[in-house]
Amino acid sequence: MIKTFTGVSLVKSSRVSLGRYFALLLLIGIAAFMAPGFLTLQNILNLLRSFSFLGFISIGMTFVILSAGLDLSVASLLALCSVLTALFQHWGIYLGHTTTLSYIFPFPFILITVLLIGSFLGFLNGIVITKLKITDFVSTLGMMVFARGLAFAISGGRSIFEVGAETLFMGRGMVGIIPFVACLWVFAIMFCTIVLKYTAFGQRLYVSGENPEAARLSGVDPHIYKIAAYTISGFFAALAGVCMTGRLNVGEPRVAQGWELDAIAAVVIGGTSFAGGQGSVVKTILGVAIIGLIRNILSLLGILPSPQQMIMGLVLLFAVILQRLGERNSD
Amino acid sequence: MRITKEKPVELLSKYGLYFVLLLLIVVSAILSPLFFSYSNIANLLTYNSFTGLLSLGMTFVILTGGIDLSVGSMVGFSSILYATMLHGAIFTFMPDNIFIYTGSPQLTPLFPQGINIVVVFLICSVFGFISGSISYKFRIHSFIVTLCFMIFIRGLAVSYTHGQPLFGMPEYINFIAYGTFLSIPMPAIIWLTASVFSIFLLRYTRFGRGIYAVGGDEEAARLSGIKSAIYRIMPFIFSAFFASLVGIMMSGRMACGDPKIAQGWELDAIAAVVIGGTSLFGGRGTIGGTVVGVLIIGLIINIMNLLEIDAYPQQMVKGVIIIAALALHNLLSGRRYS
Repeated sequence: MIKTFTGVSLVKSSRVSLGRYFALLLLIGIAAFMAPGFLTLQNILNLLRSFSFLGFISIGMTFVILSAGLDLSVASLLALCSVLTALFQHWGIYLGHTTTLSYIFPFPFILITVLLIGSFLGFLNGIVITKLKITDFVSTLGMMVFARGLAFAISGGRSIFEVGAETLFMGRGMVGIIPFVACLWVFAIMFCTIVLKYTAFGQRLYVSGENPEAARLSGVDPHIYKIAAYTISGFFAALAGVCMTGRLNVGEPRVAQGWELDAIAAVVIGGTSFAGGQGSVVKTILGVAIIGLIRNILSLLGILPSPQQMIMGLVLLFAVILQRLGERNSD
Repeated sequence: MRITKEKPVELLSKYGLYFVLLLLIVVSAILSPLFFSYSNIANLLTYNSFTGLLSLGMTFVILTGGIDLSVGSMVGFSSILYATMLHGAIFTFMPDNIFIYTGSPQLTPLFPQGINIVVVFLICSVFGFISGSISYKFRIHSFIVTLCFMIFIRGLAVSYTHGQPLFGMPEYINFIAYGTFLSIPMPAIIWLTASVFSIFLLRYTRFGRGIYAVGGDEEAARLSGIKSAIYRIMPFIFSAFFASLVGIMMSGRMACGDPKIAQGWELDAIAAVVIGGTSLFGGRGTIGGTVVGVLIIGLIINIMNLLEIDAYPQQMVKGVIIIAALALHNLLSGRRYS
């Protein structure tokens, strides 16, 4: 009885996610039809690179949403880490040396420091949520406002131009013909998928997201997994911040405004449930690709940014409604 | 013995917010002699009345367990919609130039004056109705639905005139934005009137009790014969209505319709509601708390302005306040407020 029941629901749920793959294929078809150069290897690699910045924070967001949370602070953390990366290489900026690079310490340490700061702020999110018992939405809202303010305050609201060669490589470098960011992103996807699927940590994250009470009764402390999820989200936001700085060659406190919503949209279009405990990184990547492709096609059509935004809103709405209807049928 | 021991704590948790507000007022009065000047108080009330109106609608939404992220976009949309209606000539004389028309001081209203405003209210309320209905009908959390609408409506507003502001506002809008009545600024009067009306609605009517019932426990409300659809959808209409009111008032203050205003205001409104003690899980909270929440945020910004602190550190402080206020709340009440 139970077996058939799970069997049926598996078939149905796979039909729902098949629909998503179909949508992706359809979008690729449309794009290929409209732009003959679309399916060349170079263009696909370029697309991969353009997806990867949003892709990083969406991976972190997946962890958080799996733990039944919501992280509004990722975009602000990204901006803060972007400013920090540039600032650590322009330490003399406070002394008035704006054009010359002046490292506070060698680049590997800068990278580690920035990643640690991002992770720590994510960790702080988790602590505030679990220990002070403030809901995810409000705590991360507070962090979002705080981190953006901090990014503006330490940079004085200025963009910090010109970063070192290593940072540039993080954002623009190529490994053979493959962009370095894309390599890093694909590696992160694989690593996170393995962690979520095949390790005790991943299993417990799912359990504590789906039913915290049951997790607690079976000896798993859901708070620890929630804190871990937010820390991971902070880490990926920092990583995206460093890469973004390299890509733009500027530490910019205004970067990535509203990206937290794009990341949430990607996770939701991918089919990860807001209630926690259901979904995967691969699904999120599907969502990132669908959003990115729609944007790409709209640009190919020559539609201006603001009507594009309008269309994205509608597409997102329809995707959510369709998904909801699909879930209902499989109930 | 126990009762007398618990009483002060209970009192503190119930009126803690008002103590904080009082404390802030005292602190600001000590820190700056300018605080109690007429112009400072008038400015304080005027600038906070916009967030204040938005957070009134937001309180209704959050009381039913929802959230409305689209209000900021709605303010921008109603502002530009109202301006284009005042410049009805765009539609009649220059059909090809709708998208590049940047306005002239000459007003050519589409309808007689008052009706333009009503039409703006109606169109915005319809948007609120649609987002509420989708959320209710398909059982999708309003966070997602209004997120979609936030993106959609901002896109609509900005593409409408290619992001260009549209100048020229009639006299009476100027009065709504800048005028005073008994030397109280008009925006503050509108805010306070709307607050009193909302308090009345929530406290003394069947509708108000229904909102609390549905927000507290929808299943129980349903079993006791309350039809939840209206209580789920009406708050979104209220929220959109208040947003369009703010949009029109903002147009008056800037003397133009601008589709790009009020970005991120939805979060300010939510923060005010939550600081005011309304639970994000629904069913618990008051309008009075929201008004105090708006004033607390506004006062802290005001103090920092009087102390001449830069805008960027101010934003940092705002983030810390949101969390600190709630932590204090939880500490005092020993409950998970939100």
